[in-house]
Amino acid sequence: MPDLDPIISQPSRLQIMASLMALAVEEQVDFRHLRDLLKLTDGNLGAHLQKLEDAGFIRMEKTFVAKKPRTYVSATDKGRSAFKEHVAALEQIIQSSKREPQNE
Amino acid sequence: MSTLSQEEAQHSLVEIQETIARMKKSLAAGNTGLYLILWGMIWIVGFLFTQFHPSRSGWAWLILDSIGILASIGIGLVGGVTHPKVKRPDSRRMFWRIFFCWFFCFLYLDLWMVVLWPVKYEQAITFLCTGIMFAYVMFGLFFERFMLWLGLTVTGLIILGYFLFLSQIFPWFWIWMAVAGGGTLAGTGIYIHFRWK
Repeated sequence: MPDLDPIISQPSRLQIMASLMALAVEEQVDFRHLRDLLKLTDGNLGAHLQKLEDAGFIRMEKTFVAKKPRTYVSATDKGRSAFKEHVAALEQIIQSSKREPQNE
Repeated sequence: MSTLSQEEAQHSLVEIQETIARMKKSLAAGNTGLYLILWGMIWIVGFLFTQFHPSRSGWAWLILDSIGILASIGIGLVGGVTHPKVKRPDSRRMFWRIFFCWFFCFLYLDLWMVVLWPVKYEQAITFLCTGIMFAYVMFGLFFERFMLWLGLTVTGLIILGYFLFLSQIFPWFWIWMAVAGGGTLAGTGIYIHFRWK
């Protein structure tokens, strides 16, 4: 069975990465939109994003809009690769389980 | 490193797909809901005014369309450029592209009206409104698929009303346009804005 990255496989972080994968490579999503979409609190989302950023999977850009701070988030190339590997690993787990009854 | 059971892996994949779909849907909605609510309400007010105060409807439409255009530019600037949910490197260029798409759409519609004139008022409005819905259909083909279906639906309703409600027996064309046309636009906008989050 393939091993899964513990950073990405945490449910909330997995959802964060899945959301970012829906964007085009050059696009960044507003922190607040991500928070509302995933129904997380500011603190919860912030903590998960920090972990993902420390792992190099996402990039956060802090800016000001009408004198108010705004944070935009996007997946890095490393993050996109890691996410695709995670999905491939999940599919492999499912395929392996389907093959096992035939081998018995 | 950790691993999962087959059921957990299956559940995880389903959640991933649902999350991606939810994000795409929320981005597709964007500010489109607000635009549809705005122009739906303008159609409702404008066509009801045309039904009950036909002699002053020209001025009413001029005022309503001016409000609609200014509000649309405001929504586009705030939602697409200054306070976007999703930042793109070409946000400003995209805003101006969409602005000029609509500008040239209306320019050509007006040009064709001048060439086709004289026509009955009902024909002119049917032509202009279905022309706008044609733009929705084109937008839907290239960007947001639901706009394609919305454009086709409202076009169908307009044409149905044109042939059904312009007789002496059922002289309700303007009410039909307000309810079926404006109501469909506004109702779709409300659904998208509040449900596609």
